[in-house]
Amino acid sequence: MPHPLDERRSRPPSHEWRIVKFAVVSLGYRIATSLLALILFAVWPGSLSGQSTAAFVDVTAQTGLDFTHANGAAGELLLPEVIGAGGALFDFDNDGDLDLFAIQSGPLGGRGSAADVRPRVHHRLYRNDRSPDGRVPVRFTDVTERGGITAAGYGMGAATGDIDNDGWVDLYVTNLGSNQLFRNNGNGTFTDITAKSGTDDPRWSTSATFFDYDRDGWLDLFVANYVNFSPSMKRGCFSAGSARDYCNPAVYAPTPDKLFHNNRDGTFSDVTQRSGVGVPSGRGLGVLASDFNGDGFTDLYVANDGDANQLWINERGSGVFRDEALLTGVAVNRMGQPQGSMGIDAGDVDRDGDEDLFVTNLDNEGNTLYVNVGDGLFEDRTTEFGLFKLGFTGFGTRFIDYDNDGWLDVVVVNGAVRHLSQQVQKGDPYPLKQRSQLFRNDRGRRFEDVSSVAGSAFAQLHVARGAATGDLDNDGDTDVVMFNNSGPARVLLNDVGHRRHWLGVRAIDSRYRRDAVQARVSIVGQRGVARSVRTDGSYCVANDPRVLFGLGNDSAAQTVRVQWAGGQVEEFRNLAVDRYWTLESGKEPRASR
Amino acid sequence: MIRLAAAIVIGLIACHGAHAQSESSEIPPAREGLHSVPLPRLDGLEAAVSDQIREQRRAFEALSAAGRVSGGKLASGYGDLGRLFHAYEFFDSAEMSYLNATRLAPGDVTWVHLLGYLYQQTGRLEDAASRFEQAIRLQPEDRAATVRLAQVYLGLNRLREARELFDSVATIFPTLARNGLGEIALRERRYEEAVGHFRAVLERAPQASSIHYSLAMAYRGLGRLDEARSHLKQRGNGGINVGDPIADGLQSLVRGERGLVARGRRAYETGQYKEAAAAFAQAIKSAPGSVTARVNLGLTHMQLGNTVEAVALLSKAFELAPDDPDAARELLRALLRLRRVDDAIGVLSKSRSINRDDEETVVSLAILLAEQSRFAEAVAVLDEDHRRFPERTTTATTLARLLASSPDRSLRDGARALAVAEGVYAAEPTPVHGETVALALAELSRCDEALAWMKRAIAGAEKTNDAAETARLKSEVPKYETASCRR
Repeated sequence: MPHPLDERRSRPPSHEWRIVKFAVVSLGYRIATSLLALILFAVWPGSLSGQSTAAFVDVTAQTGLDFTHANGAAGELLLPEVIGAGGALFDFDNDGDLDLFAIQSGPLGGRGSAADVRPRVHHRLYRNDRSPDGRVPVRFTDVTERGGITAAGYGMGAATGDIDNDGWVDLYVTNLGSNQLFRNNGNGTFTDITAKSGTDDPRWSTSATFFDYDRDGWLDLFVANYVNFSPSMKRGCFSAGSARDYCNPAVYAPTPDKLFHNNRDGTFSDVTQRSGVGVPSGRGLGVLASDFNGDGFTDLYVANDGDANQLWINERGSGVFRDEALLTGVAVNRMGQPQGSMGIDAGDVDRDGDEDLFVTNLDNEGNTLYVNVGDGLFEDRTTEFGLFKLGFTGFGTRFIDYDNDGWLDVVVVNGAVRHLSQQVQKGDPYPLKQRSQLFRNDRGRRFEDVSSVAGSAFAQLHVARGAATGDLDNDGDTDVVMFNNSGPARVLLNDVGHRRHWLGVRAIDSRYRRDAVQARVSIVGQRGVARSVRTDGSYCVANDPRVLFGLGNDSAAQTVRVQWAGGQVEEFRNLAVDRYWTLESGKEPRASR
Repeated sequence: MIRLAAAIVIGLIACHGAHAQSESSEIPPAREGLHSVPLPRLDGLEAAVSDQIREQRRAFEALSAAGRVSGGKLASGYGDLGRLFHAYEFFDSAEMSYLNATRLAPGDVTWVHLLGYLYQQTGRLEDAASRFEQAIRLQPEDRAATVRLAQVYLGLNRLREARELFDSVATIFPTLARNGLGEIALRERRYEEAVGHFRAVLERAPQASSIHYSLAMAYRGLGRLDEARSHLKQRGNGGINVGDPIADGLQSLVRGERGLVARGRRAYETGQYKEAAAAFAQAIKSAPGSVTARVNLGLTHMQLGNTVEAVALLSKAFELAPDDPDAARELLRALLRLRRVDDAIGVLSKSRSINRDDEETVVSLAILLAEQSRFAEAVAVLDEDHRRFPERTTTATTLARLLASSPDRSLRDGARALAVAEGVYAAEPTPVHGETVALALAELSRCDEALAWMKRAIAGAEKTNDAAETARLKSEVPKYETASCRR
């Protein structure tokens, strides 16, 4: 807790407007029960036959996904209302396809502290029951009841990882209020082991990631925390035109992030203080783990809202991290200004062998591309790559090679956090809606905005937050699930990538019987085509751990090199294209399609 | 009776709704070929702002309704409307107003310039470039447009054109020009040249603390990492103003407390404290009861070194709203800067009487009481809070330390101090909490154990690479190394 007598704190006026009396206006919000859910997968759009010009087809109704996020807004314009929603794509039943977990938020409590947030909400777990012959590419069945996942707070985001190396992926849910860790029992059910595992954080958490910082083979956990908020701390904030609006998070104090060390026995130890990652605090919203300086140890990049972003360099597994974001050039934009950063992803956009970073920001700032120029240093080259655009508040983002041409493209889902006057004027009760964007990578030289041909979901206006990516229909291209705040989640099936050749890899570290998080997978002979195994990144979501290589017109069998976490390198030869391969350290490759 | 009252309320709401609906959502084009101007919703705006917009609109409608009004006059009407919308960031309404103005008076540089500025603000850089190019053609001496166009070219990565323009204004706007040229050099990785430009900027405008970042990146490019780190430490939010009278004039249109406070905050955040003070002072004039404006003005005076004025403003704010945590906190900080400790205790006591649950207030009050040697009162305050909220570690630690080492020996209670300190350490095993245990053990004359705890605390601080805390703890060790560690 900051001390009021601490003169070292020098801060700008935090004194925003406040409202003495609130007229609580009911927005009449209801979670719509969609009739489409009854129709389920009866009719699939013809465009999926491969003749569409749109890159992505919205197949939400056909998949049976009927989840609608509720933010609990009741006219008080409380900050948490605009910060969710998230979810996860993960294969919880180990049947070879991606299942879906969607996080619910509202309603918010009206009293005292974060603990007053009343849990009357239900997250949803959907099992993917796609038909093996591909006739029904994706079909989600709601298995929440059997799954046993009960919400404990106002939900925000999710992280996935196999915490006990039993081969079943576990799930961590972040909340405004206590977080929850659910152990996957391997039989379609989960057990809440938060208390036993010691992984709770009662503050306002957003994104999280499982990663192995000390290379002991057991996944540790980092949790990004946002601000110190409770419904009783509401502030009155206003637009430039003096209308009531959502607050800038700067009016609330940031809270320290949290690092938990996996004790290998189902419990974790809070090592935040010892590791150094809690100080200074930032208003954390996004997190991604990767070995940014190439020393073989996994570092952390944290996107902070309005504060400088942090790059926690892992001091070679000692358990201590130091923030090098400023010197490495990823803390602020090229003008030296901290931005309202939300989503993150890392990927090698110029195929020079190292990972670049993309960060989404507020609509009056624009997103930022930090290009890795070697030696662990980065340069803001947003403008040079044609990615500088104002007018969109970016949240979820992923580098995906949507057209399988071998170059990583960028998808960004958007939604404002302050009222948009045009929508206010039209009487929209939730005037934060924006369209989303898809940028195509022109061979590592520049990005081209191809949103207009990305599909109807990119033209529609949403208050989008999380964007989880993965190959939902196992057809060799990357699909997107858009988690919308105060709106329905959307399934966007990629309808162009599979028209080119591809090769998919699920990398398993046989020592630990789990996805080889942080392994680096590359195609031998194709310079710079390398991908990292990760489920984190984007915003408040967990993604498909498999890596996909777009091969364009190359139909020849490929040799794949895997650099396992820890540095060992292994090559797998003569892998046929257009299928997934399970590559397990020290074992023969197995084709899974 | 209740029914009647309800009916009256409903009637009033209905009347209000009818009034709101009676205002159309756009101003239709005054002449053929012009755009209609969308109007922002006025309900929900501060009265001063909505009244101002209504008034401007009425003035425009009167002008357009008058017969035989010249194109120039109508352009000015649209332009003035646009400026007002622009000042309040109703960009869609402002854009349409300016477009009409430029169509009616294509030779008037003001509206072209403002349209360019609006496009620059909203990230429509190609449109902004086109408008500023037009403005320069109309009025080659519009140097602000030249600088803005150079910045827009920089945003479009048209570096050659940006360089030419920055060069062309180097004598009129040397700071802005050198900064722009430095940015171009940095992007082109001509680091030595970039260093030269940025150093020149900082010599001319040392308050432009954001330039330290650019300079650091240039030094980084040269491999001079120590200099890079040094400048990173100096980086801040201070920037360089373009000095654009046309665009700057928009701010003078802002009315109402909320807008003026927002304007002041923007100025404050970029280090322009005099401008911030003016805006906050204007906000107080607009709303004499404003606590927000007073607190902000007080903070601004603190930045300007006018602590006495700051205390007066913050005292008034605290008097108006004693339950306002920001007013109390900032007043406290100002009083302490003047070493008016008794007054600070008064503020905290009043805050505590309003909200007894706030730990920050309790601990601060106890520390100040102790500073004034009012140890018994300090212990009483902490004791009460600790009994009510035993899980609060800051309260507990402060209490344990006072019980272990109060200069008023009659208050000491080593056994209780140890129990409290051990409880805190169990909850949060940090070096400082380890030191508290050591203090309590010392009070009980258990010196060997106290020394062991100090060593443990030091090891903890070393593990986290906290050099300052390690040094501080080490400096305390000799006090525990004697058999008479009790002080």
